[in-house]
Amino acid sequence: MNTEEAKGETIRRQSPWQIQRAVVFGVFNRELANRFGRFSLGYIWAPLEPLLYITVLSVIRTQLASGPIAGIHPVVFFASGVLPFILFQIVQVTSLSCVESNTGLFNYQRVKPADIFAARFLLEVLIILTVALLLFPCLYFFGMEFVLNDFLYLLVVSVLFLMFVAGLGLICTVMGPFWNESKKILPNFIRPFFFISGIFFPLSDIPPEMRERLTWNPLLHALELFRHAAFEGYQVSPEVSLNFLFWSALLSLTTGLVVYRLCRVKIVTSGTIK
Amino acid sequence: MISIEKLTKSYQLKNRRHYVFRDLNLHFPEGTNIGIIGPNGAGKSTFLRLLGGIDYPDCGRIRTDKSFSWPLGLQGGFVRHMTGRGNCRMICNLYGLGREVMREKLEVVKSLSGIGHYFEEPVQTYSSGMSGRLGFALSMAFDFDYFLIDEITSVGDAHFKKLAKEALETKARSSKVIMVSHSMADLKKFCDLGVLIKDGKLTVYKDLDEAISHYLPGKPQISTVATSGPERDLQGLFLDDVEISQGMDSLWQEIEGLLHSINQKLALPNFRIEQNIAGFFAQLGTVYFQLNDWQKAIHFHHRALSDNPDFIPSLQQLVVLYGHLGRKIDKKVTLEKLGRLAPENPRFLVEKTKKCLAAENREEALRLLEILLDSHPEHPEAQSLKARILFEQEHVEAALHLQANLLKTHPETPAYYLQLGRFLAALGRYEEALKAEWKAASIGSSFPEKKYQSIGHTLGNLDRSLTF
Repeated sequence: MNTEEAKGETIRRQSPWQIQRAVVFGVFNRELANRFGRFSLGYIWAPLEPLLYITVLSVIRTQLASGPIAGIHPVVFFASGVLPFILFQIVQVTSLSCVESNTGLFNYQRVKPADIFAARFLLEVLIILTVALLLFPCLYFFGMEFVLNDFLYLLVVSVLFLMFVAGLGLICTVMGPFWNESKKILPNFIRPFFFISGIFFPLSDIPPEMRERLTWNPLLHALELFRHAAFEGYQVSPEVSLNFLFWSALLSLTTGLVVYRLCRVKIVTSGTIK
Repeated sequence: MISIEKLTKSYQLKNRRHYVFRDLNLHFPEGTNIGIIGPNGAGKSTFLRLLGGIDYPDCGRIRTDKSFSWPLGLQGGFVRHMTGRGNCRMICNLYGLGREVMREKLEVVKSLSGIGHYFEEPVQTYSSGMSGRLGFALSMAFDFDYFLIDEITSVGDAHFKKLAKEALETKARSSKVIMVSHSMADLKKFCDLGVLIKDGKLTVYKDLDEAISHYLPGKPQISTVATSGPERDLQGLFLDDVEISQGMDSLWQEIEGLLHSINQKLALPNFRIEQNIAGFFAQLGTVYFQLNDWQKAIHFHHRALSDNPDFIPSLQQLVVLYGHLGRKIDKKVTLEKLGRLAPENPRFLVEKTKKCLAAENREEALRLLEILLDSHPEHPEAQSLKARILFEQEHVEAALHLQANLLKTHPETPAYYLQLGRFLAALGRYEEALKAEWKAASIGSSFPEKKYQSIGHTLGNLDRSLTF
């Protein structure tokens, strides 16, 4: 039975990349089933939350004023703010429970918290991306027209934004098991950011002397840059800077990786104080 | 190669730190199956988790170039709301199995686990035994160098155990096991090397038996029970006059002590039998049969059968026991089963021959006896029956010849002498017939010392193999 032994060899001799891919794919499938498999019409619920936000914001807006916001249609404006913010929020919150909700999976030597984080992150990004790819053509079709400004620029902003989100997510992955209360505190901490990250107002609407107080928030930069890259004619205020987003993303991802690297053994070791 | 260097592992308890291992240095030789024993909470499972790379020591390291399975325990690392199949598919994904291979393996897993249609149900509907079995079956789909087995062989019925053993044995050439178990029998089946974990110390023994003997408490003292005095019913009967020789007295005390000890141990919740379980109970049943306690004999043979429903020695003896007790239906059912399992079995053939004789079908009876005597030329009952048939067919000389030969090898059975006497009488040799009858009577009246000695011997062995 040489073939049997040969198979054993292949399992052992998989390259780190093959193992990584297999594990993330395996966990991804599980997370997919976990997220949608338990409810009837599972996949329909994914765009519900962002759509709800966008609808509420749009209804309020139509009561107060009419006309475009900073040169683009209000609904398009809200959608471009809500989707990235929800991605940011959901990644942080789910990352907190990466370790605890998957103790069973750590029975398999190959699965480490970072794999679970990667799978969840990937899943959330794909969900938001799918929602975006369905939503914006719909809006366009219903007459809320916009013109794509600079696709390459949009890509750069997206990558930087994802780096920023992933870095913070890794920190949350490590923080979750060590600090139980974080699961209560963090969602409440993130919520105010909904009001100061430029989801329902452009920075250009804020008086210049107030802007300085808001521009320390990388999320604001990311959202404004998204709109600037995506929509032609969007009036972006001069305080928004790609440079700032770049350094925030780099800092966030570096910190996340370093923290995870330092704690990667400790978070799955039994017998440490939690 | 597995070597452990300066390994320390501790747990933080409420107000102190509990050290499971401290400064452990070990080296396991290549290609050995390792059995781990030790009391509960000694760190056996922790040790497996450390080896399997899913838990980490405080300091020190484990060096190895081998691949390890996940620890095969009762819980199994399953996602509770996913089906058995879904879980298995996920784990196959984790280990990078291709689509085609996976489909094939999943069917093997389904049949090996023996959970049937539950394979398509969520794992939360499983009993712990079922998920343990599924975990074990799934691990068999992969070719790890070492399978880490944590008490998993204790779950499942005889059928699963047999399959599991076969599956492990086919792996054994390329894979080894590291096994934690409280069943010494299971450990002995698989392991060469013994590791005893006790009081924070981990000792490797070259031989599993040595590890076991260091772990298990010594043989418990056999308390001799005072035999209850003769009851009132028996007063005035001859029993009081019967004197058994001094040697027999002590032999009987030993037997009674051993029986008491065995029954005491069997009443404990955590007794362990260090041999084939069915074999153990069958032997005990046989002892009770020899002691003429037929009900107990039947009870223990049933226990043997509940471990292994196809255990032939028990079936064989149950046929005889039911025959003695006149339980015709039970006897018929048991006999049919015996015939199905072992059509060449001597007991089955003898019973069938007797049936043929009752129906006066002598040719068929003779044919069956020939089959039996072909495989068991010395079988006394068959020889005696053949002699009887020959006699009935009026081949008296041949019958006598056969019977005489039988008695040369089995001089202890009175019935054979009685039959010899009948043959002699038929030939008109009355004096010799009388002597044969006298011989039979004298055998019947002497104490069957040898029988009780062998009972004592058997009981001694059984008692030794029963621990707790």
